[in-house]
Amino acid sequence: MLARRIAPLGWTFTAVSIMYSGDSLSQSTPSEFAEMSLVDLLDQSIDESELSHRDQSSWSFVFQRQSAEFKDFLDGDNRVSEDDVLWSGPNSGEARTDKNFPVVPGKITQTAYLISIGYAFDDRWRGHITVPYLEQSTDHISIVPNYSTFKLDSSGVGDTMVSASYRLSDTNRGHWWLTVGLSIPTGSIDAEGDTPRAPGDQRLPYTMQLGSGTYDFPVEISYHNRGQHDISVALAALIRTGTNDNDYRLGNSYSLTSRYDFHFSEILQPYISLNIDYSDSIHGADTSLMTAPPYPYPAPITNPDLFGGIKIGARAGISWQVSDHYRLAIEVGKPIYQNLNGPQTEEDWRSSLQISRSF
Amino acid sequence: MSWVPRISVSALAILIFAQLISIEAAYSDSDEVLLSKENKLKAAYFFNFIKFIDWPHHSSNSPLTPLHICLQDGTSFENFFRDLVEKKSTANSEPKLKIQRLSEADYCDYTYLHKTFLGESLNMEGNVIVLESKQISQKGASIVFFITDRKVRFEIDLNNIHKNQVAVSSELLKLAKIK
Repeated sequence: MLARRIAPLGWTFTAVSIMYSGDSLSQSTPSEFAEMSLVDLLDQSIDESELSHRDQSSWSFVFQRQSAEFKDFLDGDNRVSEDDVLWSGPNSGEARTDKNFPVVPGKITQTAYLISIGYAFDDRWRGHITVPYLEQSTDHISIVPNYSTFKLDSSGVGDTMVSASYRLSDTNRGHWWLTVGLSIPTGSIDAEGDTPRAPGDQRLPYTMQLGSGTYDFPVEISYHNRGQHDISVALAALIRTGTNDNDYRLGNSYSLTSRYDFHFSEILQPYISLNIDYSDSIHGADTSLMTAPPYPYPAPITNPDLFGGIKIGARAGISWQVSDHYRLAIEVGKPIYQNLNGPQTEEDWRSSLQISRSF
Repeated sequence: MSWVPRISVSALAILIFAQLISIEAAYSDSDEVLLSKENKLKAAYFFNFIKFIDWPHHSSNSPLTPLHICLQDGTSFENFFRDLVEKKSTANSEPKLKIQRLSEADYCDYTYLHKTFLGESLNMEGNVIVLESKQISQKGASIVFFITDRKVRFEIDLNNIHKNQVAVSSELLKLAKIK
């Protein structure tokens, strides 16, 4: 437990140490501006991130803490009560169906600490590597003796993402970027905990695992408008391939995100965003999570069909340009519509804290 | 993990970050940090314009007469501009530049305003007044910055240029919006 508590601290130290290393002390901004001719100046955008420093490092670092909480149940877009999802047992007279279970998750909390290192090869090409450290916790209620309430935790390194971004176009109106990557299955799919299935530790359900177990391909195309209104739009997909060692593959996911930045201040920039996310259910099944037929799923989170759906969420945040190189961003988000393959625990809120050192 | 360690880790991360920022700020000029890129670009434009303007008091007969540049008091812009000039200046650069605060200046050849100047001591003759944006109203202003397509552009008021008896090169006029 102590190791679990220390681990995020270590990541934090690592992140800020990396951010602080390199040429963070080499500030020569007035020199750079002094050397610019009128023609150079005419080419410069006022966007803080687009200054081409001659002496600036090509490296960028991002440390991000993302949190999300899930609770209550949706079947489609209909709210379902916990009582409806929890099967009361064979002596209750309540019929067992595909929609009720002897074990039910209550609140799911997920926190991810991400460290991303980027490198700008030139004005058009950028590369990134992102390593997440995940902490997950799920409260449960059940009708199983000695497990009426219990909590499962898992934590560790998630899947490592390597990606390359290419600037497709860059005009006065805006710029387009294409990002293609590879998600390497460095996260465990064998995390265990003490579940009601049997005494001792058993493999945890899909949501509690730290990785996908498959090589996946993230793709994104994004547009950032340079007109009077600072608008950006991104269309992204995570395409999963093959089947992992536990005989399943997580569902593909797709998202469309739009964001509007307000330039009320030179230093502080609030923004709002709207995102539409769709994800498939899980393909295949981890049979170790299943029990005897005719109802092989003891909990909704062990049924691969009860994953995925559509979510539309609104987010608001503020970005603080702390210095020439460092930016701090805080964001909170709340779903405004969800249509889930349920019964499934619905997302309640999410938040993000990001510290970045730009190119 | 309970909420208490989570909050502690996050709080510690923020504290470490804040500490690092403060260390970095100590090494760098804090005014550089506070000034936006937009205003840094305007400072660079303001500096560049000097090469394209001929002031009546700075003819080739008196090359060592300093050009009196006036800036509004205590702004990040002032400190950044001083640094910029210091980095660029060489021993033989002409004309010599004398940067002074507007409130302390008896005479100005070249003035940058980020807000309307309400004092009475601002001389108009021979003084090229540059405004940070069109949101500022100042009688006699010769050059005004504005933003188009997220880039800094400038407008030159030829009437005021002529009234102030200064000459602007055709090279600069070609790049400007003419009023």
